[in-house]
Amino acid sequence: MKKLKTILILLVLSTLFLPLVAAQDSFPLTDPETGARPWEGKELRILNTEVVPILAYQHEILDPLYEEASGVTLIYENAAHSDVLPRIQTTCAAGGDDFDIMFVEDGWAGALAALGCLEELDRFYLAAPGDSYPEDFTTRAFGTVAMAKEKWVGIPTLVAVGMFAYRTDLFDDPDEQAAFMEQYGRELSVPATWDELAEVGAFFTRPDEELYGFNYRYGTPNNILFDYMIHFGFSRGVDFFDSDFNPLFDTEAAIDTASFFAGQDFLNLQPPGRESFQFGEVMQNFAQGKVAMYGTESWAIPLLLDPEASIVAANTGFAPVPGWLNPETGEVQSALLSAGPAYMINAHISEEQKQIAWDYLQLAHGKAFSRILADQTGAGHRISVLTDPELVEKWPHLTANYEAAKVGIGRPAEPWWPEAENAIGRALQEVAAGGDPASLMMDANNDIKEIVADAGYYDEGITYVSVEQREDFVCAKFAELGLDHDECM
Amino acid sequence: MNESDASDNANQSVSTRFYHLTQRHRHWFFIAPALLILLAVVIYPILFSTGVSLFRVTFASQSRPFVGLQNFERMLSNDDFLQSAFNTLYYVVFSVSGSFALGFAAALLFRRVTAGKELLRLILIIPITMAPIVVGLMWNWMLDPLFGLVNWFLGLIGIPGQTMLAQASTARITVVLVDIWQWYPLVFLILEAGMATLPRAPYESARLEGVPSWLIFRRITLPMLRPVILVALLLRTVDAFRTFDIVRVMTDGGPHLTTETLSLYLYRTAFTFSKLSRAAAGSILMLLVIGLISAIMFRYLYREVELG
Repeated sequence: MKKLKTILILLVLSTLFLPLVAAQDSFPLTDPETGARPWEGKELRILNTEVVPILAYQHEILDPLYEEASGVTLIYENAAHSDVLPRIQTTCAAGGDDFDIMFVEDGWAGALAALGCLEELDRFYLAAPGDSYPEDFTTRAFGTVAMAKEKWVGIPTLVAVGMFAYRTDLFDDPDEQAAFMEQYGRELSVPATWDELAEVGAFFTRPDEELYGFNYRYGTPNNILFDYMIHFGFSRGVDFFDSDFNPLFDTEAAIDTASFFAGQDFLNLQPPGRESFQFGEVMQNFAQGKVAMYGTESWAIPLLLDPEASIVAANTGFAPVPGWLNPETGEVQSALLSAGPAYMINAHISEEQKQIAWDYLQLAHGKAFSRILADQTGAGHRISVLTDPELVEKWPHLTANYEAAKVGIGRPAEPWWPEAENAIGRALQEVAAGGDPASLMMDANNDIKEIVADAGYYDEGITYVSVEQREDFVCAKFAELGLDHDECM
Repeated sequence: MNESDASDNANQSVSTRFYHLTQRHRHWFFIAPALLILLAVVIYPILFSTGVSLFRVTFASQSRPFVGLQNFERMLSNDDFLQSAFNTLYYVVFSVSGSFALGFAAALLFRRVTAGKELLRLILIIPITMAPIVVGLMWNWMLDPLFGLVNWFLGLIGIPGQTMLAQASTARITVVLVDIWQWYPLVFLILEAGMATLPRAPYESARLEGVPSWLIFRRITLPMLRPVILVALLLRTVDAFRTFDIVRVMTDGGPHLTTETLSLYLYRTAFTFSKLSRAAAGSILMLLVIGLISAIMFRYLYREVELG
């Protein structure tokens, strides 16, 4: 009898407490279809930067939709791109809760994860997946942008892949085509190799008409390294590290690439001021019709296609990034990159704010809203958008974006990477100023070795996480979350 | 004398002594609040930074091993640090001398203005009323090689577009010129106020004796203004040493480090690269140099004041 009584008490207690335990695990989300607004009247603070146009368009298009659906007020702080990492690092180191959501570049996640300031998203997904669909990204992109090694910490706000924009009015002009044929003995076409790029660039470089061949970013170490790797390095076979974390910037391929990309012949085909060009200048030059071609990334698409922002919007075409012609195989090797920022949740905020932050991420940057953004701007980064027949018909470049996102190589995300990136970027800037590529790249390589050694990586035998390993991390994470992904089969 | 009187006397003597003591040291009561604030926001951070510079500290470091003077050695053998130090000295020398020359000239010429003085003074001080960030952004656009006003004017007189901020040979001096443009009004204001307080008698006597203007300037104006000049120079020197915002906005230290000042370099080392202890060592070195220069200038200044 006593035993039965105990069992009964336990049963009653468990029925009482089970819903409480379950309630801790799940939480309500905003749902535009049902009209649920569980966080109405709350505020969400976002540290952001609008350094690339897609982020500004997201802010303009997606945020009002989310605010309307949820009743949550979004409070933005837009910092300069170079100020964001210092801001987050100092806030995190102090355990600050100044921001609920933070803009985090793929190369910064390691530094911030080491500080313990990035909230893992697994439990939010398991409790309330909403419209987040993490499996709707390519594994390469997700592994680079949304994860810090094995941990899932962000929802990608964009997946940047290399793109090549050109002015169709110039390339389709019969007079230009005839003149090019006469000068070079071949048809004028969008360049597919580095040599063709230099040739077509020289053809269109006409300072008297304020027209130049193309332009790239040389202005900051971060920018110059990006364009060096995205548009040239990867296609030439340059990589960041070997498996033992030995930097590879002193290889023949890396030095050749530096000599070409930052060499004076190549620089002379770009508008004056090129040594200091950053994101804004190169975009404006193209948008103002000052250059015939523009090696960029997918984040530039909305601005380049916006007639209010670009006078050549109606005459802008997109093509794959020109590659390196391998003399041994005769094949054109393509450039590959997958990078970009994700919005991540500050680990130091209250549980309620974390749930509101997740509510924002799953909806404003979820599947349905991403489609709205792509439809309006031509910029997409989810598989469902990049492969949507209707959208692809409207924006044909989405197919090329998808292919690039599947094979892109991301930057290392080690805590010391920003410093290593700075070292190699500075060396490239010096090459652009006329320095000797071989010695500068070797010096930079040694500097990076010292940085890695300082971090104790060689002593501790830490090995480099390759892109394939990153994919494995993603697949393991998806399996843990009970998600299927074609690339993980 | 009974016991109670003795006690009263003793009490009186204690209170008298206390009164005299408080009178003798009462200045401490007045300066104590300021001193406490200084200790909290200046002295403590300096001591703390000095401590940090002797360890290896990053934002994420779990252990903080003592490394002695290693951070100082690393800084002093670091090419980027030395380049930034050189850039800073260049910046200080040319910016301070440039703004001083321009400000002094403006103040001297201003004395001869008879009408519309107030309006002219307002116009002259406009640059100093603007935030350095705004000044940097404004000049960035004015100097833009494709869209900028400066190149448009140069084009009118047949000079091709210049890329002042993109070239290593011109970026440094361009940033310095913008800094001079912003800060010469400070020198102008200080010297103009100083000149307004100079006694008239020596000038009248000199003019009666037919002393030429340049000699009046050299023998009367300059010596009497010397303390004011030193104050202006001191303010400008310390200010130029810690320049950060204009450079950050205009060039962000580029092209390839030619405009990177120590403040910018240390900021990057600490907050972007998370090398807190190395940045602390660099800032201590910077503090020592500024302290030394300021001490020399103060010594000179007080000697002048005492002599004056």
